[in-house]
Amino acid sequence: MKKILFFILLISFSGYSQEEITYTYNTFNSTRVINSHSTEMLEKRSMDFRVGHRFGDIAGDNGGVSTLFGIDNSADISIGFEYGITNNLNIGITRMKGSGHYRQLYEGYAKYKILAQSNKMPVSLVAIVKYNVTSMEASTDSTSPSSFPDFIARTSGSYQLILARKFSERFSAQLVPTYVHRNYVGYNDQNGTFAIGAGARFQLTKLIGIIGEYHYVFSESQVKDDLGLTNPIALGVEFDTGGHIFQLNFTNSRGFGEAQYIPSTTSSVTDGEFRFGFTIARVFKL
Amino acid sequence: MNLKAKISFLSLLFIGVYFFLTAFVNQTEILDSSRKVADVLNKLGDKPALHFIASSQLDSAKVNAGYKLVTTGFATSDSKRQSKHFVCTDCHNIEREDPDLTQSNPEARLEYVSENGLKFLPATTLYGTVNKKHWYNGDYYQKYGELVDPARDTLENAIQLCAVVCSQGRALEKDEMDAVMHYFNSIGYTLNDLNLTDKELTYISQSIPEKALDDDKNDAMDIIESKYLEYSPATFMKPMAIEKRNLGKKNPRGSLERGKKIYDLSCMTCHKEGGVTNYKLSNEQLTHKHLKYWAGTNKVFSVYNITRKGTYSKNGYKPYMPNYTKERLSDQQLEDLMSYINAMADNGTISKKYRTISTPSF
Repeated sequence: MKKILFFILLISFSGYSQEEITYTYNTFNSTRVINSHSTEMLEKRSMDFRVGHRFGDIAGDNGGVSTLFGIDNSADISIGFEYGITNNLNIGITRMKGSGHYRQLYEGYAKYKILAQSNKMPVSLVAIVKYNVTSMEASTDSTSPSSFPDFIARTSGSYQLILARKFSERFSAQLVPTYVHRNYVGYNDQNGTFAIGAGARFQLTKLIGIIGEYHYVFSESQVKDDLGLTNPIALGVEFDTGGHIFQLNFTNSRGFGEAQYIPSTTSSVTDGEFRFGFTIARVFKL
Repeated sequence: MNLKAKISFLSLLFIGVYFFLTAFVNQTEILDSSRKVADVLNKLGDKPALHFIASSQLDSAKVNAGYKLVTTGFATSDSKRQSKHFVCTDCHNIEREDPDLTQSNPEARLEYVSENGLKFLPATTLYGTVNKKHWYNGDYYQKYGELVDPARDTLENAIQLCAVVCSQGRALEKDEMDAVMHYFNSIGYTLNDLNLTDKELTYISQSIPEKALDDDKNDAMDIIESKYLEYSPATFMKPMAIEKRNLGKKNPRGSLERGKKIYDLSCMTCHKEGGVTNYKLSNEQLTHKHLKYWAGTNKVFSVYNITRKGTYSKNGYKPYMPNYTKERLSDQQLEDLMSYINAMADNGTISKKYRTISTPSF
């Protein structure tokens, strides 16, 4: 009996040692797809410096030749620093100009990689918690969503799970359920918003890829109609220069960060209300 | 014979045998082949180098601290990291890497390192660096100019140049340098590494005692020093002219197996995921297509160009890629590498079709 047990143990252990785990790398090129995060993480002790711009409407009422297709207007600007505490835990802080009622934001986030795709695991899973605080001057109009009666009213949070899979060398896709909670909103708006998003990358060459994403926002239909909400959609090209990542994109959402683009995108692509934008990311070793 | 005579005869015999044996043993006491070459040279009366520490004086705590600094960048857990970009072992092996220490032959080295589970790296191994007399040799003057002058004859200065310029980190503190010196002396050549014949070893062993003749001592030193290079030669190469590049296409095609070894043991040391650079490579077909696409140019992504020129430190991005000298990567090996990249780019694997094509021998 003992001998049989010993053999079972031996076989089970040898089985373990034979199978090596090989992880799947480079599911996406950057820690962002376009607006939303990807499952990519910063390595331990690296710092990512990101600058992002979203310009004005290309066509429609505010676009066209007079504004050089929106280049004269800036919808949102962001500058951020992100840091890899470990390979599986990143933190970041970003300053955003913001757009709409809720502007001049500081955004802090923590991102944790729960599962990594490998020969044993079909998907990667990442969780992100974000918190925003606005530093804008409170409006004297007490009916305005930016009147901020107390500090809590200045804050909002977003909670995301990202489930991604690299299907082939060229194609990766991800599914992103998001919950955004804004602590202070206008009378016809809702505090909590749930959305489900999808993002994908198609790599043309090692250094050039096409990226796209779409979020379906589950707002109450009354809110949707009152505010004219639309679903954020984005399409872009990214260039990896072996250090910098340049992302050029077209999107209908005006703001950076989930608290802005999920619950308050009102531009409609079919009306020409989409904009050119770019993000430049540079990784440094610390 | 009476008993008394028998006893005295036997005792004389014993004494005689004892003296005979001791004399015999004394004459043929062969040096242990694990003895450090530097120790033996010192015993023979060679003037010790500035960095010489006799094996008997090595402090195991310092040796460990030196090993930690070389492999992790931290000498102790509370010291500041030496460089945030590199550790010594990103560019240097710390084991023997040449089958024949009298030559710096990249082809022989590639076979040796792949058999012994080592990397194929752009810089000379730190194993036996204490036995060398010069560092930053040959064409390194072209790259570092007058900075190499103090580093050429003094190991400590060479280490500091590497620490500050090559690894773009900080200079070593005094106690860290001490620890590294203890560690480097602990990985000096041993007599075993020199492939001495029995005759040579006996001759060296006989020349060690004080009573041995000076001529013998000098000859013994010469024998030892003829068994390894006293410096690693460095010849810089210009990137191969574009029209001369085989690009892995034309016959004779390079060896795919050797090319794979170079890609895995050299390129992927730094360019793997989690490696020291932001420019990541992989064994994906897309990566090889990219490398194949640029190979025929003189741009930074060209394998022919980057291996010979390396990159330079610049503001905003301090770490740079070292260049491969002729002694660290031959032109034939570059073609082997390119053949591998070409096959991987076309097929995603090195298929049978490619393997059957005969490869040139050296």
